[in-house]
Amino acid sequence: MKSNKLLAIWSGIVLFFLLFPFAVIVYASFTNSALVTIPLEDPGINSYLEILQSGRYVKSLMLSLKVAFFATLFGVTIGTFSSFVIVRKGHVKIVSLINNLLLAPMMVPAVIIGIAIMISISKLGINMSQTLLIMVHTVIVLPYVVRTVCATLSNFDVSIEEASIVMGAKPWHTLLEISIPNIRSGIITSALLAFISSFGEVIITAFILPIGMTTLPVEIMNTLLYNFSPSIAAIAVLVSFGVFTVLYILFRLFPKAFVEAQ
Amino acid sequence: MNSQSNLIINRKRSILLLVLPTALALFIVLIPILYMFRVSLYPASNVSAHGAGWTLNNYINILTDPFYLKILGRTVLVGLGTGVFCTIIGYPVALYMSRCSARKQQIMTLLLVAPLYTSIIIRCYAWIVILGNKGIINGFLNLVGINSISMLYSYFSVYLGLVYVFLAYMILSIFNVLVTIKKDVEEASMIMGASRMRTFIEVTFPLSLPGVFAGFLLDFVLSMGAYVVPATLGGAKMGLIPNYVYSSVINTFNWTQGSSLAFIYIITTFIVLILYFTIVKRFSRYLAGSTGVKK
Repeated sequence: MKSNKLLAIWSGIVLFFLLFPFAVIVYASFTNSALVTIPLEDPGINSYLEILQSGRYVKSLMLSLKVAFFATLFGVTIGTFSSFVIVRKGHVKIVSLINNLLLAPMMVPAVIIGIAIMISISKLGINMSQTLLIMVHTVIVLPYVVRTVCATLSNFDVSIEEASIVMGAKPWHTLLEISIPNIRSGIITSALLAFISSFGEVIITAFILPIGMTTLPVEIMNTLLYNFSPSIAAIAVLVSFGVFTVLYILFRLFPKAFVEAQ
Repeated sequence: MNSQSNLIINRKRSILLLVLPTALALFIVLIPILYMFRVSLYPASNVSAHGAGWTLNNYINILTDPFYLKILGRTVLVGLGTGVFCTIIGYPVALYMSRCSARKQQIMTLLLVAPLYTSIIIRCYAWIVILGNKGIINGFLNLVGINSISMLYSYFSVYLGLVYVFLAYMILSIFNVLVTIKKDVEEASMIMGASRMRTFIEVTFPLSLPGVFAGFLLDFVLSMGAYVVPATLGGAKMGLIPNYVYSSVINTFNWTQGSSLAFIYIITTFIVLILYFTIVKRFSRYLAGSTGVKK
């Protein structure tokens, strides 16, 4: 039992390592100077006030929310339907090939995908647009949707579908009114995970932004790398808090679907 | 393979349901990457993005340039190193998780993955604040009278950032295998007189290796492709291949060079993956032979 105690202590240290940076951001957000020191030289809430007053991040936040909303809507819709085929027909070669294609954006470096899209678009002479941004984000969130819904779907009892068919329901009716409501925990989980993944995506997005527009994470990156402002800590706190809240609610509602999705 | 009935998902509906996602993924991921491959085979040009015709010169130039070979080596090395560090740090956590109650396992999963869903740029920013010359750690050191240590923009900060970002994947993939190992096998070993330690070394650990291999693979590939961590925590001198793909295409507008770098990266990953799978296969066979445990 002694070894278990050591393992527990080690796990505690590792969890601290993973979560401690967020405490640091909170700490850093309560200074009025550009430097985060110990103890804080000039504690205050100017960085929060700056966000509220200047409206600096509002425009990019709105674009991020809009893109994430539509990408989630499209991604969850097409991802859920394709998950049915992937789980039920996974033994067919072309289906497993398509499954790999849909999961590919997770394994190919984002920089390479982003630049590939950028040079293709500029070769075609198309202007970057919000439509394109939403389409690309739809592809980015698809792996999250497919993975989560497939996990739920593989525990799904098909006999209720059979029952529905035997009772005379049309296949489409059965799919929409029997199967989908029964895997709603997986679908809702996938939707929220898709939303926050799209919301946080920074690299691919940076290459395909329409001129004069920016999403929140890209603006944070630009602030960090090119024109630093202490307000970055405050906005980082607000965003992380939002993400953690969504995750926590999700976890309380559907712990099983949430854990299976990981 | 799968006995689920296909009353609903017949052939016709399968095609209908897959058409849209397949088309999207083709047009947005696959075709642009194939176009990038084509660009890597154009001659370089000073007046436009690329010249006309076919050439292998872009590849030859990179592969004969010690500067890029060094970066390539560094990229592979950093990938392997991150995999090793994540294994060593993550395994005990996965082992502990597998011995916890179901509820505690769920909570730990939540805590592990929560950071993964915040934007990577925010996490890197936090580490800049922690590691900076006037940052949190140095602030503490100064308080107790120790001089500041320079930590940012070094191998140390790059590895730290990568381990930070990819550790959770490793823990979860080992954990997922550990929980499937039946308690009976461990009990059998102990009934036969093996100590707890010996049971772990000879039974549990070998059985959990598929999880270690899967996690290692994931961390290795992901960290080789990392862009934000080297860009923010590594600075100019610590870039990996993806950072140079970026600077070739964006900063110097050299599409052909950037594209060939990207494909050298992809080919390198493939070669390393094939080597990796060969080694893992040999190793698993050796282990299965030496412990007599069948997977």
